[in-house]
Amino acid sequence: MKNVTGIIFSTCYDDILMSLTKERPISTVPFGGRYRLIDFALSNMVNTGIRTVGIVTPQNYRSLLDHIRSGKDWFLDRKSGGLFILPSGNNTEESSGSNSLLRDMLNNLDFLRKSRDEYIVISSCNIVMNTNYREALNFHISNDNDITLIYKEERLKENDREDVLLIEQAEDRRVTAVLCNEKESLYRAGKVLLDIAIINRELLIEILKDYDGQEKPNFFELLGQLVDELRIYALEFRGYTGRILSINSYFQHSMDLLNPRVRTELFMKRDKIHTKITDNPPTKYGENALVANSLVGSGCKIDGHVKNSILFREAEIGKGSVVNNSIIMQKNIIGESVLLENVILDKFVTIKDGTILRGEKDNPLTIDKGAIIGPEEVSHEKYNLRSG
Amino acid sequence: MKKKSIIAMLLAGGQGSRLGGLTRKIAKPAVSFGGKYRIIDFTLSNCVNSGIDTVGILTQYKPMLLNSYIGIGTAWDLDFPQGGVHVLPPYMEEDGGNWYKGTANAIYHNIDFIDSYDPEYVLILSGDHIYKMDYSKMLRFHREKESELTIAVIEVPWEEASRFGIITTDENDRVIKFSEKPKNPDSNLASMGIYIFNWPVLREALIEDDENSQSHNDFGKNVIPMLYNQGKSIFAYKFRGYWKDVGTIESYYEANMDLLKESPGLDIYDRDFRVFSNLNVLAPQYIGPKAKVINSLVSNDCTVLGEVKNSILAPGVFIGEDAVVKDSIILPGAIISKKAFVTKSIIGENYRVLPGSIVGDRGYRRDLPSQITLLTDTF
Repeated sequence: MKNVTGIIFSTCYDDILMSLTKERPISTVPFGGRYRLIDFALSNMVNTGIRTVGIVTPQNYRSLLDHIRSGKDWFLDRKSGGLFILPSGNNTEESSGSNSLLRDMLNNLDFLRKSRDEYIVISSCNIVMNTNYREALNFHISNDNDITLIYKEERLKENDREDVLLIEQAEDRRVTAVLCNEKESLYRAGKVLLDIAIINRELLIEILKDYDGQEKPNFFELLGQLVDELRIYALEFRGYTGRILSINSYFQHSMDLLNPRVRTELFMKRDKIHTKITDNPPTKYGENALVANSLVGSGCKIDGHVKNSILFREAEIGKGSVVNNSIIMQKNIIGESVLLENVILDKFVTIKDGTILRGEKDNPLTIDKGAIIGPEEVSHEKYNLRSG
Repeated sequence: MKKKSIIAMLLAGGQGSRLGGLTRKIAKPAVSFGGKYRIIDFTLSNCVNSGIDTVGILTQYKPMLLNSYIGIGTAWDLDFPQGGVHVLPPYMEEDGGNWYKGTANAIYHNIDFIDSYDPEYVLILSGDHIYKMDYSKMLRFHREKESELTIAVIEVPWEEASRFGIITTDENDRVIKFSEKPKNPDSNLASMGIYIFNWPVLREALIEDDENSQSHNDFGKNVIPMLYNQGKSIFAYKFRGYWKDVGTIESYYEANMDLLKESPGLDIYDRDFRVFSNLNVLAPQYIGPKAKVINSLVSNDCTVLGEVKNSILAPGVFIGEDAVVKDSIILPGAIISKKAFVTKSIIGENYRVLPGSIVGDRGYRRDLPSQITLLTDTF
């Protein structure tokens, strides 16, 4: 798709995944056996045919740059266009709970000024979905919109944060209001914004110039003030969306992948979700392996029982161990006769022989990256039962 | 062009007719192996793991998939600005064009290519062997011995020695005799078809061999015996490790199954000597609620709903409900439909085994010798 530049905010909601985002931004939280959350936003851009993508980086961007590198795995190592890193300002206070900050874009105004593309696609990085923006772009252009948004009709849940935005629409799909989610609207169905917008580049520069640096720092929140003067339209997305807003939603949406319908939509479509290629060998199932209803990455060695779980690359499950309803990330080493239930193990965790770890289905136990845990060391105070 | 100490020439043009349907559409080095790999991955990975950054790949037979698979060598970290991977097909010359006749003839036609790098040494490799080898150790040996030609050899069981090209050495590893498939071998060192030549020696020999109209232009049959008779300094480098020529269906099957052993001779999990391959990003594998996977290798993008035992599943394989796959190799994209029963078989790429089919020896028992069944698309 010519004439389009993408901007991904990898800064959003860094605080909400507790220990999973202690050392990494939400954009690089591992998901689905081999991916990172940003892979979805980035692949959706690339699969649209967008060949210039700027990524607004968070403060702690080491793991992001480690993952993205030159952008080669998303075909973004280009002579013209390609991948651009857009450093955000020092916004430690405001970053929590905020997203798509106008100030971060203002810091990178040169990127927008230098661009010769007419349209900008803005996206956050905490929504798991497989789509492309061609239809929305065609609508945006043919209908002469100033801004085109994408929403999903969904029932709000208890654990949705208040800053989920809802829209109201006229019959011709023109947006008449952008509203913050009120407490009283809980359990109500609504048109929830997916934090994806198409906007004319010149207009975006105008908006940024007018921005006084104080009020309404979030681009999407600002839109509520602009519905009268600008032609803002919205299209519905009917596919699967997994919005990651808490450890609980992370856990639930991970488990959604065990549903064949969700898995097919996310991974088996013509448009693939791309990620960093690491070239692992196939996964080895041992003599004592018993694996059921699980998603397994490559390079694992499994000799235990695994059920209703997600295993990332190079995880090892020892003989006699039982892993149930859990997320086992990259390079976890699970010894023998271990029992894990409703647990999320961050990367590089070692669980020694005979350890038992149990969380609750709606309140999984998360274990920090690199932890080494033996049967005698388990205390739920230390490895806090995190509430969603 | 920058002068190179050593460059590799990889012979990948062979038809591999003994692999039957597996090579009906693709060249032997491009045949799927060990789940996610293709045969050529092992040799190319050896090159990069040995610090060799320039590889000429000689292609000829049905090269389409092989060419697109190799690309510019990016997948093996071999895309270097000076050097890198070059695919070298036969080409037209002033007096017309010819196919590569023998292994030596293929190199002969690319003398200009090798000259352009002005190397001291040329490493000749085959694209159809499964092994992990650090060629830099062999090169060190070659230099230490002040050898003009070094041949990599491997010890084979005495009873099998008569199936190989056997090399006899003196106590200093100097080669004193060649015997092609000897009836009564006096050595059990088999040539692996891996050679390091001093480039000036090889260059001269290739030209001389080409002028001999009687020659088959083959390294093993012609060029090496000629150099031996000329009294050149030839040494044998003993390789200790796993090595398998996968030239036949039986050896291909065995080499795959070797990966399932308790401690396989070939460690594909070793992070210090990785085997790279060229695969697009694929989804993780999914193992269904009623599935059973035992002692098997399963690749990305597989869906297993049935039972898989002692088998290797390449990427994108589908095993339907109540299907049983035992002692088999299922190549990329193949579908084993529900209730099918597959034993000791090789199922070709994208082949579809219909529901309820029985593939493989009916009375098959693991402890008895039996035939391997190979199913591939016929068109």
